[in-house]
Amino acid sequence: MKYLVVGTLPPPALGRSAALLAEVTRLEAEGHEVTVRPIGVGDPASRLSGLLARLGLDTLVMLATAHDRAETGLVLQIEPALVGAGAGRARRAVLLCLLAAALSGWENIEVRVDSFADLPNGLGGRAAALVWKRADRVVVSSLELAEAVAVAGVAEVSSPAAASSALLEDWPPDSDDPDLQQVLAVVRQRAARERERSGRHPDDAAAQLSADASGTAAARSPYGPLEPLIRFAYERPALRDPIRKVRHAIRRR
Amino acid sequence: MPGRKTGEIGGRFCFVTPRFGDGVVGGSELVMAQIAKGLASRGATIEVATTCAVDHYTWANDLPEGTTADGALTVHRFATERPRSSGRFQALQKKIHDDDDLQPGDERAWVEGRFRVPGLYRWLSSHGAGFDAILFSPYLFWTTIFGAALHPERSVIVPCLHNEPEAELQVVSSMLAGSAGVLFLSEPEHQLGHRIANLPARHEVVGAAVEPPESYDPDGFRKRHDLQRPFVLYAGRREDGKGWRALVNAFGAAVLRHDIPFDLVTAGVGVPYIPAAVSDRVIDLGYLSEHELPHAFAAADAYLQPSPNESFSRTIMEAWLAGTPVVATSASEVVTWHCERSQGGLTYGDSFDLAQCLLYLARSPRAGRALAQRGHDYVLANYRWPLVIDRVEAFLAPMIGVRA
Repeated sequence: MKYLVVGTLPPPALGRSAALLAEVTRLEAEGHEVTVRPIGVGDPASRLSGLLARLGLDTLVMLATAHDRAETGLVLQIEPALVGAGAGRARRAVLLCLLAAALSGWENIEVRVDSFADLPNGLGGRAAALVWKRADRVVVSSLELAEAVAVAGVAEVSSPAAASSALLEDWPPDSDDPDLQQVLAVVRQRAARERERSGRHPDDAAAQLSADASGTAAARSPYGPLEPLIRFAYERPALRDPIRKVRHAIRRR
Repeated sequence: MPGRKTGEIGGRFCFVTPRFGDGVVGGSELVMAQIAKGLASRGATIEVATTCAVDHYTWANDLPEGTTADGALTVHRFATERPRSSGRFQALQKKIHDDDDLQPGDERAWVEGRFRVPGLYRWLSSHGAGFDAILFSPYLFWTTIFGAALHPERSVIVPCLHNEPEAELQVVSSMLAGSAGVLFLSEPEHQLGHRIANLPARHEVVGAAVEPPESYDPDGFRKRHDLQRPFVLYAGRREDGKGWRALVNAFGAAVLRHDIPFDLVTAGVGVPYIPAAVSDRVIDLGYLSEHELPHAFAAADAYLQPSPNESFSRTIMEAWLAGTPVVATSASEVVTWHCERSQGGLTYGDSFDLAQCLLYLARSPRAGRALAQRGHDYVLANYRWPLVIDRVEAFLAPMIGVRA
């Protein structure tokens, strides 16, 4: 079968581009004929193409004018350039409506969503819902995304994250004689999968804390300019306990 | 000394440590105190030369100068002097950590930048020759680096080395190479010693030990501190160098990503940095007395050891003794070595590993108890005070009787 894959492959190896490359590789391994079209990159030989790309219309035009739409599977990766990275609310709504219309002739549509930030102003809104409804299936990277998209009434939402809950079965059984090497192997394997998955959400709070824990972020005082004063007081045994008790009382309240 | 049996060492030894006594928080200080008391109980005459400081941040003279008795030990305290400004010390510290070239004299200036104890130096100069051996610890303080040079033929260093830039300073390697002997607390520390210095012929891994309390009261501890949820514990200095910031951030990331049932309870000195995103999951109990701390270990569901700078890691031993599983950073060769030798501890490299270790312990309580039991057996087999004192005694015995 023919497939048209619309989206940006690595480099850079972002979570979504890496996932899309894996999908392309999978389709080709299954013997399908795959064509990949990047988003937001006009043909340098054509002024019109460059203009369309700048306006965020390149993908729409390509989808609307493609031949063999009924016989070709479409894989559409949602990414910021699809409707213009800095698109305002009105422009976003118009372009998403046009995108939904451009999808109308396609018979087999898979839309892939990697993070909330991949669509300007998030995944919600009526215009975006038109796109989700056009899809035969939506592949998302997390349970939160699956919930957000499912609200829009998509027929099928699949999530590798949901499948990963089956990982719990990987743990060795709880026993009185655990094999430490086996336990650590499972720990490392599960951590590696989690690490790969989290790379798709570099801006969330957990990722920020992970980066701080790895020492990749500059150490900042959580107390700002009061740091010397707090440290002075806390480092004196006579003051430390009263301060701790006040903090404890505040926390309990 | 030929013919001498362990348990009747005799001899006269001096222990030089920057802090000594009740209320002092620090691994090397505790080890020195325990070895001193252990040798004294076997008939050795022990004197301790130390400062008047209790707090290792301020080095303020909180205790009076002079000579006092502490059980069988005679303790001499001397006042510290501190530079008016810590600017030069901080600048040199930064150069050391940035691996910048140091000018001649910079290393000595750095050592003097934290505190000086001239009174102790003078006392050691005039009294040092009267001891069979003088034991110094830890490696990077003025008392050790300058004190050990006074009577090198009888100076024994208990360096408590950490794998950190300070350990590679010339003054440290010269001190180790020029001493009469070196006592290490673990095999990885011994290997580090070989990497940074030409060690003297006499050096030995003697280990350290922990004293099991008479009993544990985990329920009482939870009640006294109003701890209603399961928790994991970190006890120690809440400093970047001890891995606190890395730990609390990794724990925060873990609880934000997963449904982990544990809070993080911490006890010790230092201003604990706590990220706002997880402030409701991190509980600071401040300093706990040596009588209360064992109950904290027993009440915890796991003990977390985040410090890459360990020469022995006393707290993981205390956790194992209390029947609590250990989750330790793989950044420390020493704790990784203990975990592998005992087959009783989980190790983590980053927040993702830590999360999975905690998830495993949450869902496998029987396995957690079994791991802790292995650690418990390991501590009792290797790190009980009688065994350690035997090793120290055997090391010091040949030095007895050669004093002036």
